[in-house]
Amino acid sequence: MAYGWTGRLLRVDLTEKTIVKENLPKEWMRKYIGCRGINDIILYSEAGPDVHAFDPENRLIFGTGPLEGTPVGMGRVSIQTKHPEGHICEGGFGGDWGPELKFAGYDHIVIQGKSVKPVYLYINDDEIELRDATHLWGKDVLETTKAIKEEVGIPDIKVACIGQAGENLVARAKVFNKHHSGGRGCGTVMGDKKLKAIAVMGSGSVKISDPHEYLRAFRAIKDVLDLKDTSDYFVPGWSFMSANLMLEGFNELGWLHAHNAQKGSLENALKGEEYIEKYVVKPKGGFCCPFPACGRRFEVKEGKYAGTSGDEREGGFAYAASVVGLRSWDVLLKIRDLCDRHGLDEFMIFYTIGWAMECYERGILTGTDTEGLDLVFGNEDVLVPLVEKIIKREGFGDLLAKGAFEAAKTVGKGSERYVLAIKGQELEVMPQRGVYQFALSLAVSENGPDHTRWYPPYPPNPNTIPSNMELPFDPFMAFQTRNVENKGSLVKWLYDSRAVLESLPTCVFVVRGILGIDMDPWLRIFNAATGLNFTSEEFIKVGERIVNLERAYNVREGFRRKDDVCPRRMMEEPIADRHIPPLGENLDLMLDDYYTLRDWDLETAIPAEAKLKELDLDFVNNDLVALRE
Amino acid sequence: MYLTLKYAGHIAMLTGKMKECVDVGDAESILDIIARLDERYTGFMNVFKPEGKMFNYNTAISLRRVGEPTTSVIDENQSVREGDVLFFW
Repeated sequence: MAYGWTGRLLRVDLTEKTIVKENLPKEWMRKYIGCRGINDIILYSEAGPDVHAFDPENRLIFGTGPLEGTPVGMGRVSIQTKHPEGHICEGGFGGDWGPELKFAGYDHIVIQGKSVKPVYLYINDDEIELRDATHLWGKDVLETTKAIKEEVGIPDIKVACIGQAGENLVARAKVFNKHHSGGRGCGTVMGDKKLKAIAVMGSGSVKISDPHEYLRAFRAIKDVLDLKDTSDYFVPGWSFMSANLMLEGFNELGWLHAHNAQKGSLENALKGEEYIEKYVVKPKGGFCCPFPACGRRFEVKEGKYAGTSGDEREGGFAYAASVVGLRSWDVLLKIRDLCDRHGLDEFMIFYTIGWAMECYERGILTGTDTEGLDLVFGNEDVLVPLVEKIIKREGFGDLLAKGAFEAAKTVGKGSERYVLAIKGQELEVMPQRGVYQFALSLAVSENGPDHTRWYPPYPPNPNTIPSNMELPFDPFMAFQTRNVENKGSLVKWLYDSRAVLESLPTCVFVVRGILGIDMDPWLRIFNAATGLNFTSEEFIKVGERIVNLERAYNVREGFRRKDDVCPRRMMEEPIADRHIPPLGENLDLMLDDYYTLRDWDLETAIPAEAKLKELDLDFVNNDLVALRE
Repeated sequence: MYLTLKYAGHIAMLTGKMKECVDVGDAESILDIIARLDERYTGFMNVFKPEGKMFNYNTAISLRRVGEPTTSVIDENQSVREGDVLFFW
C-alpha cells in the first residue's frame, strides 16, 4: 500500500448520477505527487481543446496530496477546471475540508457532467450520495453550510460550497470552505454544473511511513519559522498582521494599483495597524497554520455598517481597495462580508469596478449606463450597492459580473485599454513596473495573474543564505527589483519549486525565509511521510514536469508567447508619483531568458520535444507536433 | 536635517506611532539614524542590528528620495539626505 496517499479517487457524473471509486495510478504519484500535479494530468487527459468551460464534459477536480491531513499539509486543497477563456483554471483553499476528504479515504474528486437541478454531494466514508439541493439554491455560503449540517445531523461535517455568485455564473466566482476560499472561476463552473456543495465526513487517518522521522523533519521546519530567530523579515510582522503588514509599504514604494493603477500611492490609504486596533476580534487560523494572524474574525462596531462581521484570511483584499480609491475599513469589510457570503472573488470585484470608474471618468461610460451611480474614484457610497447588483446580475451589475475583460469587449469604445488583466483574469494587486520578477512571473503564469504559483515573491536577506547552498541564480542580482538580470532563472526556479510544494501540498504562505529557497526540509518530510526515496533532482523535476504539462495544456488551447504579457498600462505608462518607468522592452528581455532556460521556443513558447521527453511527457509531445509546424 | 520616518507592523508597536518627522542632527548614515532612534525607542538598534547577527537580519528598510524610485536599504552605511523618507518594517 502507499503511505501518505489513500490511493483512491472518486469520480462523480452529475448527468448520469453515478459515483465510481477508482484507484489512483501509482505512476501518477511518482510523476505528479498529488494535489495540483495530479489535478493537472486529469484535466489534461479529460478536458481537451474540444471541451468548453460550460460543457458537461468539462471537469471540476478537487485534489489533496500525500501530506494532506498531516500538520505540514495545512489543509490545502487544489481545485481545477478549464477556464471560460480556455486556459487552466486552478486555485485552492485551506481550512479543514481537505484533511476530512483524506480521512474519508479519497485523494481526489473528479466531477463531470451537469445536473438538471441543483444537487450536493454527501460523503461519509464509503457512504456517498448525490442529494437534492433545490432548497439550498439561492442561499449564501454560511446559510448553506448551516443547512447541510442540520440536514445530515452531523455538526462537524465539512462543507465546501458556492454562493449566489457561482449560481449566477458571475465571473471568477470561488468555492468556499467556511471563510477559506479559492479557485477563481471554479465556483462559476461549479454553479454551471448545478453542484451546490460537497459535504465530507471521514473517520480514517493518514498513514505515515516513518512517523519519527516525519516528526523530526516537521520540527526542523517549525524551527525556521520561530519568531525570534527567523531570518525572514516577514515572519515577525506577518505573524501578527498577516498580509496587511505591507499595506503601508506598498503605498510607500509606489506598488499600489491606486485608481486603476494610474498612480502608485494613495493619500490616507488604508493601514493594517488601524484594522488590528479597531476591527479584529480574534485570530482564526486554518488547519495547523503557524501564523495566528493569517485568519481573523473581524467586526465593524459602529457607523453605517455596524454589526458587519466575518472571518477573513490573508488580508490581500485591502491592497485592492486602492484600485477604486477606497479608504474606509468599514466599507471594505462590508464588501469583504458580501464577497465571502455570496462566493465572489474580491480581486475581480475591485479591478472590474476600477475599470468601470476609469471608463466613467473618461466619458466612455455615462450616468445612463451606470443607472445614475456616480462612478468616480473614491466614491465609497456606490461600492456596496454595486457589489450587490453584481451578485444578483441586476442592471449595470450584469455587465460587471462578466469581469472587466469580458465587459470591455461588450462596451468597446477603447475601454479595453483600461482593463488590468492577464489571460482574461483581473490582477491580484502584485506590482509589475516596480518589481520585474513579479512582472515576469505574472506574465508567464498559466492561470492568469495568480501570485501563489511563484510565491513568496520576497526573498530572505541574501546575506542569510548559506554560501554552500547551490542555487540556479545569483540571489544578490535576482532579488533586485528593477533590473532584468537573473530574473529568468529566479522565476523558473520559483515556479518549479512551488509546483512541487503545492502538490505535497503545503501552504505557500508558510514557505518563508530559508524555507523558500531550501527544498531539502520539504524533501525530507515528503520522503518520511511516503516512504519514497526521492533525490533532490527527482523532487524538483516533478515541479518542472508540472509546469511543462500546464504550459502544454494552454498551448493546445491556442495560447502562445503573445499571451505572456502584462497589461498595456504596465508596459507603456510610468508610475509618475513614484518616478517608476514603464516595463517597456524589459519584459521581452526577461521572457527570452525564461524561455531559453526552459527550452521553450522563443517565438511560440512551445516546449521543445527533447525537454518533454526528458520529463517523461512523451504523450504530450504527440499533441504538440502539429502545433509546432 | 529633517527626515520623515515611517514604521509598520511590529516596528510600529515598538515606536507607538506610524509616522514622524524627526531632526536627526548631523547623522550621515542609516546606522546613525538607527542609533538615534534607539535613544528614543529602547531596543530599536537590537531589532535592526541584533547582537551577533547581521544588519536587517529579519527586518527591512526602504528609502524614498525626491525624484527617484524607492529602494531597499541593504547597506548600513547608506547615506541619508534632507527630505528623505525612511520606512522601517
